[in-house]
Amino acid sequence: MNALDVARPPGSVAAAVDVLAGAVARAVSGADGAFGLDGVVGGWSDPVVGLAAVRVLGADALAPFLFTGRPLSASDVEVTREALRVFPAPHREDPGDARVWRCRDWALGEVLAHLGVSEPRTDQTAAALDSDGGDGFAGQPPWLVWSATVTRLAMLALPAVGGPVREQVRRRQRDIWRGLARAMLRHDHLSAARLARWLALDAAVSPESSPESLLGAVLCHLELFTAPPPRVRLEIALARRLVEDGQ
Amino acid sequence: MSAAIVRPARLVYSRALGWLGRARSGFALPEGVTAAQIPVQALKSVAELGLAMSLIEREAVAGAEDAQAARQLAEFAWGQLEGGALLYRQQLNDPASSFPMEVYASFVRAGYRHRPLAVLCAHLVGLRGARVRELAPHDQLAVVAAARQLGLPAPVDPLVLLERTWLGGKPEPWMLDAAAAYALTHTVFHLTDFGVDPCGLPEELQEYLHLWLPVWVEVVTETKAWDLLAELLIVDACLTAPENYPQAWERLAQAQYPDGMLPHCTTQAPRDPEQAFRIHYHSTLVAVIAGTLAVSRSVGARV
Repeated sequence: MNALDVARPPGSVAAAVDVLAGAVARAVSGADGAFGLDGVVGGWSDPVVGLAAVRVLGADALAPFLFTGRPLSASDVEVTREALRVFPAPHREDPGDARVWRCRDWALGEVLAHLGVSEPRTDQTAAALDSDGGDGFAGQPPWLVWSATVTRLAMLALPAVGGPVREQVRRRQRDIWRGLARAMLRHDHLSAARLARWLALDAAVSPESSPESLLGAVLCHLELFTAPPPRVRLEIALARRLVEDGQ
Repeated sequence: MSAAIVRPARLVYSRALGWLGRARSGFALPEGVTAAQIPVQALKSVAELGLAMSLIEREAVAGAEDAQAARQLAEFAWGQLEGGALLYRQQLNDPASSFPMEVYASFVRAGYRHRPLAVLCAHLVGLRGARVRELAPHDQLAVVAAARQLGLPAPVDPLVLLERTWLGGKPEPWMLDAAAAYALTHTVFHLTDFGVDPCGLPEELQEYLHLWLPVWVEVVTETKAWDLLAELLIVDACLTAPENYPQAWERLAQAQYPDGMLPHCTTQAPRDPEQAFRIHYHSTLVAVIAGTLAVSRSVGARV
């Protein structure tokens, strides 16, 4: 994604998500100190695709503010609120899907609260994790199932977001690594980058027995061999920033 | 968990043994040619047959019928090698080759002997040339393992060789390709003598395999690379504390043809029996070894 792409209003939600993800990735990497949600999506001819993009990225869309300490502008808060209003969490029959939505909305609430924005919300994380998503996540599922689940919950891998998932991840680093290695071998680069992001969160405090020294190698490998699309690039940028901030 | 794999593992090796018995003419070496004229691949298949049967004999977990079938196949293979005389002539023709000794070592495990060849091997292992073979490290380990089987000194320190293998370098797990995978499996086979000496594999590499083998087993199962999956299951059986992988064993049993042939991968077996043999005999032999070792480790039959 280049500057020209950003300037051209995207015609679909998928394209809008890519544009916003690219902008967030640049900001997280320190390449755009003036990042703002409104500045990226506010001027598009179809405002709905911009709001959808904000909703899809969820808490990740606000990551630059977490890392830089810059305050959210009133217009950024308004864009976020509007996205939540226009796109409420959908009803999902699948318990695993429903849990992902509860977790992502909980993470967004946590990040907003950390940034000083109070939103009426309920603490759903415990209920979200205690509920059986059909994969036994609340118990001790095998590494394959568990790593697939936390891959979908990567939006919780942010400094302002703690909670039970984070604790599980901290305890099961080897299983995250197994999931990551599997994703790499399957060329599932988005999953690999998401799991690398989870590992980056604890890179500074990983026990010696974990293969944390591989983290730099896997991030570099993803960058050099995959021509990462914007959403993968965003996960890599977040992982790199988490590693830097953890040192 | 180990009990869960006994049924599928026994089923797999027993059916595979049946197929090998019926297909054994495929192992027959060409007649009326000199030792040097025998195609390497033909000799290799007989060697692998001898290896698999020697492990069935050693582990002694096969039922009476299967054990009898294994003995007959071993006898057949040894007969193809003219009771070792063919290997002896090959070694005379090509003193620098380690192949005759490696093949002979498997048959020694099964109880066969050819005294002149044994004398030749002892001489060759002691030469300086045996220490500087231009082979891949895991292939060098095969020579060391053969020497050990024959009661001869190792021409090269296996731990020095190990450091130069793919496994010994403990690479990033996503860098495993087919060539690296087969190098890894054979490194483990040779260092542990197919599981009889799990401690032959250093603890740090056992830990490395405990971390990543579950991933490789999963990916290889998903891609239906049955030959490689069976080899990885042998690796597991060679560890001090095998994981067993019951789901992978179930999948392997499902992949096996009703007649006992284990397909190499997703390739459909050709209708022509000779072609089918050429493509799938190896995976079927590997299935025999994997099943035998899995059952043996699970029931604790090994002494």
